[in-house]
Amino acid sequence: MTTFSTSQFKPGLKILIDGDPYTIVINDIVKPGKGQAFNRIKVRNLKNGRVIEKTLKSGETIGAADVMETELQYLYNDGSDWFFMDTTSFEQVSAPVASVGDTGKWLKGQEICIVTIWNDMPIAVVPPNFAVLEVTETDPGLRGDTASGGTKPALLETGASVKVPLFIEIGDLLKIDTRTGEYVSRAKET
Amino acid sequence: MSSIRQYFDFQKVLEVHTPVLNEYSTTEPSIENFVVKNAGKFRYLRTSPESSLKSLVALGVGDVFEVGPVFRREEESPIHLNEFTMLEWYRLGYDHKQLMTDVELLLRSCGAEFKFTHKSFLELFLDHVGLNPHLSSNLELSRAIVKFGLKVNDSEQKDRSYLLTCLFVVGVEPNLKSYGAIFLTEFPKELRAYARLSNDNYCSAERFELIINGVEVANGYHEVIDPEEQKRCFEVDNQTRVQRGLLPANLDENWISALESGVPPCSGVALGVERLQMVLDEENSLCMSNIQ
Repeated sequence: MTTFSTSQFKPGLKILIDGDPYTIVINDIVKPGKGQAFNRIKVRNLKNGRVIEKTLKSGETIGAADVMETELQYLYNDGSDWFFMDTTSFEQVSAPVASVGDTGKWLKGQEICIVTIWNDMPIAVVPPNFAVLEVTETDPGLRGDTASGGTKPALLETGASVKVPLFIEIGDLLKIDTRTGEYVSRAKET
Repeated sequence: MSSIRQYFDFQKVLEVHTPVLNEYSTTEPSIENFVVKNAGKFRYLRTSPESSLKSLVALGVGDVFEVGPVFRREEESPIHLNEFTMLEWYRLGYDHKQLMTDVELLLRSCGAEFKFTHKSFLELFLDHVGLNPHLSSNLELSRAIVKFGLKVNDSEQKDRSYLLTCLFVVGVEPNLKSYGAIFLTEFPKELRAYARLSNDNYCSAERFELIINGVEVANGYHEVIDPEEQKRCFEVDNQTRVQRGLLPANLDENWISALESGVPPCSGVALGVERLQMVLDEENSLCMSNIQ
């Protein structure tokens, strides 16, 4: 197994801690007066996104996580697995529903996603920053009300629920920021 | 820099310049010199001007200060440079407490508006890891370290200065950012470095560190002036170096002969000038944002 010494630490490096893959967010060196050096790192768990802090003795080594981030196109899902394709090799990859998590509600097909692959298994899927989706359910629109600032819930074709302005109607195409889950604007086409 | 010189000029402390290239390397177990080879001899870039300044004090020049470059061979980071500017000064007849007041006055004259507090090693250990750093056994210290997710091997378990430092790093230091400017005092005797031991219950070391917003800015001692005691400190250092797989250093004969010729009771402190600048700038930018 490849290992990294603390002197090779830098943000973005993928390492294994307690059997889970992490990426280094911040690497600080701590050297109390006249004392030995330590590396204090903030790391993000690539499976669940949680950030933890960890201290290591400088000079210690830690296993590398065989993690790759690739751009894959989303094809379809069968309820338990989500299928993605490499658009150059046409190779298909299936991701268990757990690794897709909340991301699934922004995907309807053909989106290019960033898929994190660890030991040949997809562990995380990041959707494009913006999705254009059709409204399937919402209260009747208040035509012309573009100024009052009120919102109402709307259900989108993928099952996602977002807060939208009052003038939105069923069948409208909406541009959504997938990072915040917020409505951005109406869209003409996908 | 000019505020520093003004302060010492006003305080009648003499500015000196001592050699950067030295005959002896440091014995300190966690600091490594840059080594220069010339005409078959090794010379060392100083890691601090301590030895030279003590020789001057022994010669009877009185209070002295030097500000200049020092070099340390270690991994660089935002707060660790291989070359940095050190301000070091010695005050005759001062103990470490008077020297802390001196440090505070200097910083105020440089524009610092921190609230300075004093905390002993014992207080911080009890507050944050629930152990007495003077009395806890190595086993108790090791167990506490393991709780913070670090492993402790056999040789480390015998290295009490390592255990105390390690527990400080994982258990105490992360909490210090919220304390503002603190003088950390009453070090366990294993972390005495070259400070005198007091005659309190724990024989704690008369050493202090100034930590501002979590960053160590200065480190001072009520200095050891007995040559035999200083030799013992060097020997302990070398034992620790060997334990940690480093080469032992030659005893600094200049240092020892300075002490043998008679150094008056004094206290000395070294301060990282770039770090001071850094914390002062942070303070200023905070003030600015408060105004806005």
